[in-house]
Amino acid sequence: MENLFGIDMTTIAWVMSGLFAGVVLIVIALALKNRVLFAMGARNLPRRKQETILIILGLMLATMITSAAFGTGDTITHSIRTSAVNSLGEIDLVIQAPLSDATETDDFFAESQAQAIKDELTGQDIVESVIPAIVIDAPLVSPSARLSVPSAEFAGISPDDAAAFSIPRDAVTEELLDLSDLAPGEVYLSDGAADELNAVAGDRLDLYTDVTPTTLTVKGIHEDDGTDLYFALDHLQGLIGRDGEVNRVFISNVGGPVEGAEHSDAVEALIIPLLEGTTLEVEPIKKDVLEIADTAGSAFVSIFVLFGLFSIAAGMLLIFLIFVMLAAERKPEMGMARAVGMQRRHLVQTFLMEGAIYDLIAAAVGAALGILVSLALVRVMAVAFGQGGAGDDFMITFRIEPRSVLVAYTVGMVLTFIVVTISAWRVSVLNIVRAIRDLPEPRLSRHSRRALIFSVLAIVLGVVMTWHGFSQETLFTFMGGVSLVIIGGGLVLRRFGAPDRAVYTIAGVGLLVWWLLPADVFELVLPDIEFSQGIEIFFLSGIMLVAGAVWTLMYNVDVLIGVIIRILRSSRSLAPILKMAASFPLYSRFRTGLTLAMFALVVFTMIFMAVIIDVNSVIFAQRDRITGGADISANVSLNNPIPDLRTAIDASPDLNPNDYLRIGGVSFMPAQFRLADTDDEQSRWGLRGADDDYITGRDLGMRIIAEGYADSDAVWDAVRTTPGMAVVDSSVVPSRNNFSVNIGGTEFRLEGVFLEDETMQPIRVEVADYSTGRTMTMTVIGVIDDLSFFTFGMYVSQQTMTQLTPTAPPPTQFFMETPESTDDESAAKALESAFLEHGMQTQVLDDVIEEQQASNRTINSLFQGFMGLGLLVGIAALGVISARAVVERRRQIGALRAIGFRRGMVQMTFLLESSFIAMLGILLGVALGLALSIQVTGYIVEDLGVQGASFNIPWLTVALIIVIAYVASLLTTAYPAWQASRVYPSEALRYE
Amino acid sequence: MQDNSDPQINGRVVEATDIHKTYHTGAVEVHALRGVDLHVQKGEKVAIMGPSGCGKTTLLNCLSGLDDISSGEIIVEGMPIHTLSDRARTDYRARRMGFVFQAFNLLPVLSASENVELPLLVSGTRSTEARRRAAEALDLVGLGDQLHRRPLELSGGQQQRVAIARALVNDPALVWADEPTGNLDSETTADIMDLLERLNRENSTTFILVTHTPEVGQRADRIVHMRDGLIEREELLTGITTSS
Repeated sequence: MENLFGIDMTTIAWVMSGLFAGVVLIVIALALKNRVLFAMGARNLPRRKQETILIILGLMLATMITSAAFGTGDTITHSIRTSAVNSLGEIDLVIQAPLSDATETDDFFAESQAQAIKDELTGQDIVESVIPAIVIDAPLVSPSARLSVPSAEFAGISPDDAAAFSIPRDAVTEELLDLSDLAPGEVYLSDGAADELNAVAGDRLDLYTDVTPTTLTVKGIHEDDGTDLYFALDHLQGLIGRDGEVNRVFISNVGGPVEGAEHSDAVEALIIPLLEGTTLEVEPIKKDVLEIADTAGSAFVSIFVLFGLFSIAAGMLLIFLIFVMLAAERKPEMGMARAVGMQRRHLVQTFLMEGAIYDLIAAAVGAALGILVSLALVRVMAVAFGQGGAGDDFMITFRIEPRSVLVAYTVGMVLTFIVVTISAWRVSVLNIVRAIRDLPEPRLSRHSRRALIFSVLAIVLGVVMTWHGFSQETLFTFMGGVSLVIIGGGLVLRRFGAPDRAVYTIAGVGLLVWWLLPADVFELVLPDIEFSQGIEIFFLSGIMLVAGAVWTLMYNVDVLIGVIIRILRSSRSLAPILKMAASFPLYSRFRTGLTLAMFALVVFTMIFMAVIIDVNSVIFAQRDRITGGADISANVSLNNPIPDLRTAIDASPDLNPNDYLRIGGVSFMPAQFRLADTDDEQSRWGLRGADDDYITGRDLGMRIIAEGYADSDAVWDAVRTTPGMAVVDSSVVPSRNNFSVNIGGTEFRLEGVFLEDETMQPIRVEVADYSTGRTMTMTVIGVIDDLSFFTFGMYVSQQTMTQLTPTAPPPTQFFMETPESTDDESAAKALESAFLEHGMQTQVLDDVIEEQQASNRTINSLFQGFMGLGLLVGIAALGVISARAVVERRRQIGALRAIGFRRGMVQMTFLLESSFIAMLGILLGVALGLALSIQVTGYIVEDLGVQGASFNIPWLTVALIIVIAYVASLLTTAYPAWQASRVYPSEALRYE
Repeated sequence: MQDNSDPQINGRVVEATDIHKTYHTGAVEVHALRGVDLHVQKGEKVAIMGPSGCGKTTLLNCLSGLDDISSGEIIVEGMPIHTLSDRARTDYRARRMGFVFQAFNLLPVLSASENVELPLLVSGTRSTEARRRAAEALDLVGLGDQLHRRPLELSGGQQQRVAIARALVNDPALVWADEPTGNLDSETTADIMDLLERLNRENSTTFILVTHTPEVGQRADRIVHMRDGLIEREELLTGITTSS
């Protein structure tokens, strides 16, 4: 992982290390300046060992979540990098004609030209070797075994170059195989292909570079390095009739397989002048793939960190709570210290030094545990990617960079230290006498000037943000700004004497209403505003909803409790316990509110995810929209295409023609795209020529239809009948929202239309053919439904494609329907077998959807599980509160025991109290999660037009989340509750 | 031979015989009580006095069942309280005893009324009935208009009155008071003692107080003087002094 939220990781590492060093130096300087304060702080650690362990566990949670996110990101980066390095080996750059992906028969160039490039580059100190070669893929068939590799990659290299590259190597002995040992018609076969074909040395295989196969003899089996067959270059040239020609020049830079890529820019600069006047291009393929790996890794980390933000926020609240409670415990000591002459800053310093020691340990524990968590996440990911059918080439292997561990550690330590500093400052405000006598501090004055300034500043900032959001059409600042105005307004009301209950209820309900306003209201009030939004709006909405709900609840929960007690008062044995259990949390509004917020935040995200996952599964049920009504897709080799699949099926003795209906074909060619009449840089993308049967036979809907066309059928009809008319997949249409991460893919984008629009003006796009240089202006009149999984690129008619290039490739991709009675699996296998020589590969579309759905479900569960880590924060908070309560309320427990509370009743009081807080927090989270889900489901239904994706509560998941969260919190408080019940009344009452 | 353990016969509500209490603090053994004998008559006001550390509070805790004894015998209302399980002792306290402490030990999270209701709820009284009786008890101690105030919103004297109301609301046979005026000024102390005296007179409740204050001791029927874990002498306020 090279960057996080667009910032270079090395920069982050340096900055965080600097901040870390600064914090440590400050603490050391303070300690040296006043050793007594340091001793006071440090000696608190071993005083209560259990408490110290609890504090460290509480402080480490945020670091653990960060470290786990980094671990997964590094793993993704590493896995893609490894995959790239394995498949490319020493190759860093390649020179080729731009058409190499498609019409491979036309991308050859003179070997002498390649040799000239080689001569120029040889001797450059950053270039290790230059190898002219032929690389093609074609169907490879074992006639004896009736097995095939539909798209076998074969390479022709001169024996000297192969030896210089140390390829190929014997599969058993790993010794270098010599290509000069090969006679014409002899090849080395990879062990992977040999397994698929059940072939051994000496076997004969048919290679379909053309309609007529060439029979080859396997000379030996080589270690799989991505190439299935090795030829001597001159033999291959002779075999395919390309004497004196090659289609690739591979370049290996000095340095290893990964380090070599660092020279790619310099080598590319050397090559570009050599290619002037030719149609050849140079591509730094290794560097490109490594960059994609880094982008993917960073994207994963960004997503994980964003989803983990709730847990990290909850973790910060926990740290604050821990230190406020620590201070409460030591209040008499602090009062005494102040009485004997310590300044307020000395108290802050003592806490800072103690906090820094906790931090240093906790961040280390958190970083280490985070590595273990990411290891577990990676295992789940491996399963998910396995199900996603990414193939055997892509292996997820765990990796975490030391730099990431350093960043997780320093970020955790510095963040925690900041929170400790704020809490130390807060707790240092005390009245000496009250502190010594351990009496509660009066509430901070609502009439203070500071409170007024703070309130007014919040309103001003809120107004500025709202205006910015309104004018820039940015939802984040608009929603956040109004929220600040609501909060600031409430505080101003309080300043002028409004009662707390009214102020916090108004502000809380205000926030809830604001954030849960249906989208229709915005459309009604602000019809011309099209807000853009990103995933960060989810984080802000969660924080604001929880803040609003907690305020409202904490200032009105007494009403709820009154009702509960009234209901349960008939149970005489429960009445005194209930009274106590409900009274304690209300008495400590601050800590109860913090704990409620922690639970609510985490449960909110989990419930929200659960509902959205459920909605997603409804999307997958839209089968016909996903497949366009097709049941099977089939691809054939361009080297040996099937001009008319319908006729071929009818003619095949092994196939039942009635099993394959409405067969439509699509051809493909890469081309250069840009908006017409612009100087935009051309972008590479795919042009697809659909035959009439494809257009009329498939039922592909449009997401956006250009003005002047009644419906999807009218659009497709225009594409079929009017040359130059086109439709595109939705990936090139920009969105006002930024909820997804795009990795790779074309850079080409349409302008003047957004995914959220219903109609568009026709958009003219200039499409250029690589081989001929001919251009044609296409008119985009529709955007294909984005639920259609199997459409990629710009779709035009075959006729239009032929107009652009007379040598347009024939259809190589086919979609067909099968009757209800047909077994799709068998029908697909029968096709592959019948058209073995054409390299036919089939997919049963239902299977693909199912795999994709399973993969999505696993990934979603992974995110859900990751967010669930935050529950640990809430549970730890309850543990801390309960443990503290036992100490704090010792005398009260003694009094209760004296007036007749039995041990069991004391224990039950503690457990009920924790249950009350946990259940309230959990139910709050559930309610808010469901409320926001209704909104978002509405958005999905409207945005994607998904019928049936109505708001649906996944009761089982919700129940599971509630039960797990509740039981875990109960287990955490069980021990403190038991301890409380063991308090001996006579000792407790004597306790000072 | 007459059975002296029957309180109906001998009128004694507390009979403690040869009470020993030893604490183990680390390697050190502290003999807090070294063979105390004490008898308290029903309706009697007994003050236990003595210097700090002489074992007054320990004796009160042991007699009331808040603490275990190392050896000896304690009969309260004919019940051998030292042999009861923790649960039975707790239930007995809830039904028959009231407590008043120097630091009041009210529950800060509950209002005055709720603090007083609590012992009633514990002993199974219906909540409406508990609320009514709590209000009566607070009225009795002069706080009928302070029902919904929390302890921290009351003065020290008022807090102690709430504690006394809490101790009396169950109509206990015995009220144990550990330095009930220790945190109060002299004027409030006098008020509180007037109150206790009135309640003792009107309800025939037995009061056993631990105090440092001679004025408080002088308002009892009998003063038990302790020293080094033993009863040094007893002083009947009729003027008769007995030595143990």
